[in-house]
Amino acid sequence: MGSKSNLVESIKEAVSSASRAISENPEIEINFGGMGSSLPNPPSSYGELASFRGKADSLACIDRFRDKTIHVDAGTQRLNSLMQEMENVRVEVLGSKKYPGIASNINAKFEEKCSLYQSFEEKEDVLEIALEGWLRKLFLPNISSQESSKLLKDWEKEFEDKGSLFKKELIDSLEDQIKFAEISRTLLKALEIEEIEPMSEEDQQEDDSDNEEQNSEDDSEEESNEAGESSDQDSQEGSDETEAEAGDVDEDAIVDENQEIVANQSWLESLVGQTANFTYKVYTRAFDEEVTAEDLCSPEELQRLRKHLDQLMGSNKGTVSKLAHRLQRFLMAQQNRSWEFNKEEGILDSARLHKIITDPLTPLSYKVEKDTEFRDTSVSILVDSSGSMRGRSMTVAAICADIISTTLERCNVKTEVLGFTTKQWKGGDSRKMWMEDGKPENPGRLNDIRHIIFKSADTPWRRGQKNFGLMLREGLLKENVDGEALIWAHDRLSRRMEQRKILMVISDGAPVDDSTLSTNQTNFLDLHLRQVIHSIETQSEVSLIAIGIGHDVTRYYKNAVTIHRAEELGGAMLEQLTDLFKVD
Amino acid sequence: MSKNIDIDSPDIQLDVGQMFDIDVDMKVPGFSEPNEYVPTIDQAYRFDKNTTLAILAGFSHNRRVMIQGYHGSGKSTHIEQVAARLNWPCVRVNLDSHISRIDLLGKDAIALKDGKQITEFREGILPWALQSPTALVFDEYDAGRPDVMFVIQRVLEVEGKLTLLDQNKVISPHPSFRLFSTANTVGLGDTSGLYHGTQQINQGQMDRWHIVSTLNYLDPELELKVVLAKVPAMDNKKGIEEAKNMISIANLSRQGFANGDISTLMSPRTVISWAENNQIFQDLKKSFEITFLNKCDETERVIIAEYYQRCFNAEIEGSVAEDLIEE
Repeated sequence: MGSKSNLVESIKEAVSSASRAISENPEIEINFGGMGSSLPNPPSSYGELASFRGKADSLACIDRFRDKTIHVDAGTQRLNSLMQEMENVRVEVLGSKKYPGIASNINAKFEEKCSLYQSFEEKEDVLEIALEGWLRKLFLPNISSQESSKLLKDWEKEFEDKGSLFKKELIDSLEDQIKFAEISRTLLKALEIEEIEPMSEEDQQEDDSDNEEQNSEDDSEEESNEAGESSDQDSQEGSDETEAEAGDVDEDAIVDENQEIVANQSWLESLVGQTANFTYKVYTRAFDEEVTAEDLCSPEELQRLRKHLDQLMGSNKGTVSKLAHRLQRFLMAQQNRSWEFNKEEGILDSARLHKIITDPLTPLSYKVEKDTEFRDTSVSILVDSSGSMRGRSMTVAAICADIISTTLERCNVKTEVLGFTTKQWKGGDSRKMWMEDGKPENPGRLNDIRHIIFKSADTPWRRGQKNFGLMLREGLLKENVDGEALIWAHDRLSRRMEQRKILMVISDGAPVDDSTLSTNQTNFLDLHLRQVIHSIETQSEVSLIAIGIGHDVTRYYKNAVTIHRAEELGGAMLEQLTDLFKVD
Repeated sequence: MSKNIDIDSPDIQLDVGQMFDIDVDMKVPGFSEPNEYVPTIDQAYRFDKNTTLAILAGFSHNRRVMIQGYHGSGKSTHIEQVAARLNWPCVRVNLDSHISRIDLLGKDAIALKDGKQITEFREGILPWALQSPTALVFDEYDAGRPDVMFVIQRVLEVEGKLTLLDQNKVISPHPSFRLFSTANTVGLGDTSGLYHGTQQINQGQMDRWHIVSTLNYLDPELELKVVLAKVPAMDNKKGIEEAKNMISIANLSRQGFANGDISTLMSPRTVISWAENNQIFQDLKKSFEITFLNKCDETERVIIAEYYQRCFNAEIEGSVAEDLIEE
């Protein structure tokens, strides 16, 4: 069932991206389902696909071919709506002429519309659709619509009698919005639309409103139907997702446990254990999880959050990307290559071949291309995703992670973006288990840890970028247990093949977890963090740097900077990175 | 050979408007006779006005011209075809990161003279071209290694003399020597993620290019003419209709790329190879798949399929319709 929501998403993505391309407007607003949106929910059967596409194409055509600054007022409401109808036909026809696929999509949409009108008996009620049908037949004689001919029969004679004069003019003015509008107005006059309604002004209005009511009733019925369907679907999806999520979690937990059994303790962890008289312990790891952003959040929400992030990015992008560019130039400049001459082996140095003749005793001279001094590097950015980061700090962290990973990817540096928090406030399932076990003393870490992989080092930025939006999700940010997160990130990093490894921690406070701290000595998490940092700094090949936002991290980390405004983060991160790359 | 050396400098004036089918009243110098280095004329070639004017300025006023643009837009061919019509000898050199100084400047080589082996200095392409009425074109200029590119720093200046250290010789450029280059980026490194392996160009060197002209994509009508000229078999009612749709989808893919929806795009070259492949396979869908679709990221194929549906009213592999039918 998971594939179904994927399918819906991919239809949305494909169709809206096609509309963006056709309208030549990357900003065109396409949204699906629900009130005030431009398109209904994506279809669930192949039969409905064409008319769905037709609706999207119609929007794209309107955006591309219509000058929205032009307004024409024909006098009465009825005339205006008919004029609008004709104008819609005009842009759709323009699109249809250019793209055969659009022609058939819009035709499908038109047929669907016709079938909705089928039940109307009154000649008056089908005027609009008949007019649309007549115009379509005029402009696109090759595309026939069976549905419309029945609706057209009442009106066709009238149209042909009074409107045939305008046929040529209409065709000629297809590209000219203003001229087309003028001709439509005269055509409507010639059809004597107003005279056909032999009612007084009031009646007419009433009738209009009746009409409209009927229409809107119809519409609303349709909408409510759709809404019903969609909400059904949604709820179904929702339950599916939760199910799936629950399943995932279980699986993860199992996997985690297995890993635990196999690896027992990671190298760093055992090291930490040895180095001190203080022992860190964990009450249970059964509820901990390591998740990818995709598993934590539906693709739809990820996309929405990503869009939100893009909007927030606007103002910050400039400065950060300038710095990123500088880093890129710096890194590129380091990737130099050169030749070494006078070698015993390698490629024959043809420039010195003449020496053998002038002095036959000299050996052949070879040259070797020196490999770049630039070392393979992998950078891991670990973002504290605790509650205190909420708001500005998290946004800036997301933006920086995004820009830095793009920049570094361009310089062939693999970048990983990780986050850490807990699944619940106040201990979650671990605490429940502890209570059930009769609250033993000094339980150790007592919370369900959540480690999030926003982008793993091997994911290209292009595929991982939408995950950064997750950082902005409300309700994600909870407590933070820094020590264990550091071990986790460090282990991931040390498994990598690259020669140089850099771990960058972005944090805004000391480790805090109420559930743990209330049951253990108060500096329990703090001590552990210090131990972990000390071990990494003294015994690991990974270079560790930390950036504290509004919080002095220098008392924990050797290489650390503290910044006071979130805006400084980008600069600080890049400066630190540049310094590290300069080292050798 | 001897006949070719006769003409050492441009000896006739040619009318631009007539020769390149663009609307300009201008005359440029050219050669009356071609020599062996003059490229052959491709009658089907269509000229882009701005690019042609930039190249012609390079030829007639001795400007150093760089043409920058997306891949497959015909940058190098453009220069070659202008040279072909002016009968101006033109030599293309493909730069890559393995071109070294001696390849460009020359080296000592062993030669036989009077039955004896001697070493003598053989000039590289640069000194050779510099001393003759030749237009030298550096293709993929931004792929050259920055340290090697310093060799041509001097030559980039119009009156710049080239000093050959190995030879203790100073070469003055021939008055009809011209230098052009083509590149995908403007020397600031790859910002689009499309051009792996390009280098940032030293700004001191970038500064020495007098004219940088951008050639991205052609007008749809012009592109249609190019396609029809390249694949004459399509020049009938059905073929023109098909070609138009092919260019439509190419333009959608370019727009989609600019919008950030897809990360590969169809260049004019792609369109031409598609048309050619279609002649081989006689199957529009199949030839589209092998020419372009298979080069795209899998996650983006659904979008390309959507573009294809719009332009051809047909579904291809990976389209959302396929999944809906399965449901």
